[in-house]
Amino acid sequence: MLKFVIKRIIMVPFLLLAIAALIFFLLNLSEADPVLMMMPAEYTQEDYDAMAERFGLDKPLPEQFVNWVVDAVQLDFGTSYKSKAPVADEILFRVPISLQLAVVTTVIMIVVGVPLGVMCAVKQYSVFDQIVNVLSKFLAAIPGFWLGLMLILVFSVKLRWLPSHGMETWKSWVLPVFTFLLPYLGNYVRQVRSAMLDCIRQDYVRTSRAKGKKEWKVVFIDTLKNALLPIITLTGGTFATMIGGAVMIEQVFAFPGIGLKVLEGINNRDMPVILACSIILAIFTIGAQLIIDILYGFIDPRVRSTFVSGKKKNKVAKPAAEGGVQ
Amino acid sequence: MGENLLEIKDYCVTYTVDKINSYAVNHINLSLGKGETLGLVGETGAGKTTTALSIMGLLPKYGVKTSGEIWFDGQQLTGMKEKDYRKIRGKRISMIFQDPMTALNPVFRVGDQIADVIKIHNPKLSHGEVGEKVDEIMKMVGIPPERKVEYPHQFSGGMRQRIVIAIAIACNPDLLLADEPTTALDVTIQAQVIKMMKNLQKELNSSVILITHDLGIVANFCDKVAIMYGGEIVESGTLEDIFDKSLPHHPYTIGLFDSLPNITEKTDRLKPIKGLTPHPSELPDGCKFHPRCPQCMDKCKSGDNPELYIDGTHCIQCHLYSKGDK
Amino acid sequence: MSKEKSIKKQYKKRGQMAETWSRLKQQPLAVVSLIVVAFVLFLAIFADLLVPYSAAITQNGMEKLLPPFSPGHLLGTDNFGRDILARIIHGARTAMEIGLISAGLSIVVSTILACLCATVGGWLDNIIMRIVDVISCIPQLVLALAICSALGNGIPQLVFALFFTGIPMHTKMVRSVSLTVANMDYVESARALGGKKGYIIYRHIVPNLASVIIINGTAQVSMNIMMGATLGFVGLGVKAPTPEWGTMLSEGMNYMLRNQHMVIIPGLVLAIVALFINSLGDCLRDAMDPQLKGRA
Repeated sequence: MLKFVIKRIIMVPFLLLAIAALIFFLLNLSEADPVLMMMPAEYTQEDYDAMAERFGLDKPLPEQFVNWVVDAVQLDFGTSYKSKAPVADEILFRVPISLQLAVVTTVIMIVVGVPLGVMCAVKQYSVFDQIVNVLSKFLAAIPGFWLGLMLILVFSVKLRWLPSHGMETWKSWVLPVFTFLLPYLGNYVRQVRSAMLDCIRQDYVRTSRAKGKKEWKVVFIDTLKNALLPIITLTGGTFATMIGGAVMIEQVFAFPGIGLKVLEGINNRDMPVILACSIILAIFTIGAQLIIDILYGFIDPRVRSTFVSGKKKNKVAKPAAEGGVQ
Repeated sequence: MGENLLEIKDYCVTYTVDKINSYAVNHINLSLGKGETLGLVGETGAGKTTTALSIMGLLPKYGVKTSGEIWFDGQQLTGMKEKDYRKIRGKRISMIFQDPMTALNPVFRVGDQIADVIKIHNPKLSHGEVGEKVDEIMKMVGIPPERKVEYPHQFSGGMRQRIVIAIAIACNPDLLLADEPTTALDVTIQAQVIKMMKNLQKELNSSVILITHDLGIVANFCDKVAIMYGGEIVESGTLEDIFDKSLPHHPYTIGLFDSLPNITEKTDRLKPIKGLTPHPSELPDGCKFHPRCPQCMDKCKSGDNPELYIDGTHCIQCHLYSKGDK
Repeated sequence: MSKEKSIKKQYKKRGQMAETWSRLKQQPLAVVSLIVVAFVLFLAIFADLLVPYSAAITQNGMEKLLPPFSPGHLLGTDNFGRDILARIIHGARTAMEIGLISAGLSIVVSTILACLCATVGGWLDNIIMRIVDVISCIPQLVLALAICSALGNGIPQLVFALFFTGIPMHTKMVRSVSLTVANMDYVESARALGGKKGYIIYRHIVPNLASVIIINGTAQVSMNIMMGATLGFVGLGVKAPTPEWGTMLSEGMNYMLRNQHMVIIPGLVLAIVALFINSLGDCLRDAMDPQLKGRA
């Protein structure tokens, strides 16, 4: 298991390098000359050359990329074209803000979504199940940013209960979190439900019932532990999608996270900013994936034993084989 | 024997799926004394498992209709409150399931799965006492107690079935329902498991209902036999009543025996019963067996079930032996 | 002989599509969704006949920000005095173009890639899957934003961005389905019976893939419409006067306090279209794979 995790961790830098390369060359497909964009209305060729040299834009693309990578390893993400300030200073303080938003939302999603999905599976085809099903289809179809606008309209403009932007008090977190949560919650509940349904019809659930176990224990301990694997996978998947979705939420609520910065960078064609933000968002995604893999090993003994070191594996397998022919 | 341990009176189960009714069990009567073993024989779809699940009170909650009564040790099980039923399940009546590969929960240690049923019914036992009991039971079913920390996937099929049996006998039940306990196992393992069950039954003095389609196992294990076809018990009696070829038999029973290879006669071909088992949703009128019966008469094709021919302990449901003809 | 014939007739194989269609017709929700989707498609195709394009882009200073149900403007007008109904109808055309073309392209390309992975395997499989892994580590929206900002505004650029970001997920899915099917017992038995490779692919793998492709394709269309609107909302995507729901929303945001209809209407239309395409996809899945019914 440990071996497997280490293998995954070793892969991460290569993955990040590939991602950086992809974004870097994609952004350079643009015909617009970044140096030109930074110049005042009137300039001389010397000014132009000086500017190009200052940002390292006079070198060929591959060299630019290598330079960027060498700096990035030292946490220097270059200088913003727009503000002329180091990108790292502008971005790193935003990381916890975005992370907080995504984590808070994910936690609420798990706390609300898992019990709801389990209830739906237990009471399959009941009125409750059908209401949740219809509601979640509606939620999944609503564009997140529009939902945000509507919530602002109702709760900030009409009712004046909650602030529409900023992040001063806990109140300003309510709307962004809800806007973030609701469109994903629908699908999440439906997928938890279907993961539970897969398990609840298994024979071992019947065995648990035959022991005389209380029904809630049968459902929430014996069955849910089996359904946890797919649920973890889909929680991680949803988290990864949410990281992308955060861009819109931060835009609507003027929430000073990474997402807002990446949009700002895109509007200004500020390549160092876009590149740095993309890498950070990719790290979130990869990190979530890594956590899923580790959790998998903790929960499923079958996965765990697949990745134990060779010596231990034999020890376990041997008596089993003997037992069979006994 | 005096009072019977289990008494089933005129019991019916109907499943309804997508508005189609399946008559799984139709008006069966069964009784079983203390310490007796009953073999319930029949083809797939004859309603054997449904009967067993009815006794356990584990039929699915939706789309099922039942009528008739089941009495266990002076208590009526049908219509019993779930809370009271749970005290009987696993403690006084327990069940061994058909497929050991799926009947155990893959994410819990086998020792914990055995300990579970002990803890549920003896909540006052300390952790250590439960552990001792688990060891004791594992020894009884022939598994070294050290292996209780392993997970189901580390065991072979035969070993898993022993664990399933261990779970079933953990609380010394008065009635043990064994639903084709050997079908999923290799022949050599089958013999072991049956031998072990026989010894355990003697030791614990439990009553057993053994569900199977293997007449050999029945001859080896049971005192009484009931033959099921199309959700009905078409013939029942003591082991001698059924296996004595000189006595009258239901044509289906004759067909069952004829389809077995006989070691004393040399035959080129086995004699199968013609046709297929009817699906419980399309049971024929009259005698359920008449479309496949070699001795079918006009009166078999319609009307109610044939009367019972009763000769001491031996009952046959067939027009061939009804009083009118005799 | 005649009996044999009648049995043959009775069991005459109906095509997979005919089978699906007959099951689909029985679901009321499926019929409703189909009608709604067909209606939107009708609007998209015959937009010019219903309302001239000029009505959607002509600015009229006299009739700015009229509320819905104004005479001559059923859904009111926007801040430039353009008729919102006309913009919604022509926006349907934009949305359908973007959604259908980008989803269609990414499904065709990724299916080909996935089939290459599954059949050739080895190094090719490895390379394609590693690239797919890399792309899927970047949040889809961020990647689409980056592509759009590099390529500039316009429908073809937008379609390319959505096409490119749609590839990884679909490639993974189709590849895993075809590998799973190829290892199924019934394929094994077909091979044991002497079935040729082409026969097995046609008879077993294609029908299994077809349902995955159609179901995912439907989901992809609604996702891409939504994503297109999202990009439009942040000012990337289509060029300025082109009527597009997301752009309409972002224009409406500035007038949100007084004239809510400018934000409510396009968002509602977008949600309804997405809802019915999604539910059509769900019904299709139920109809194609009755075993899965009532699950997800």
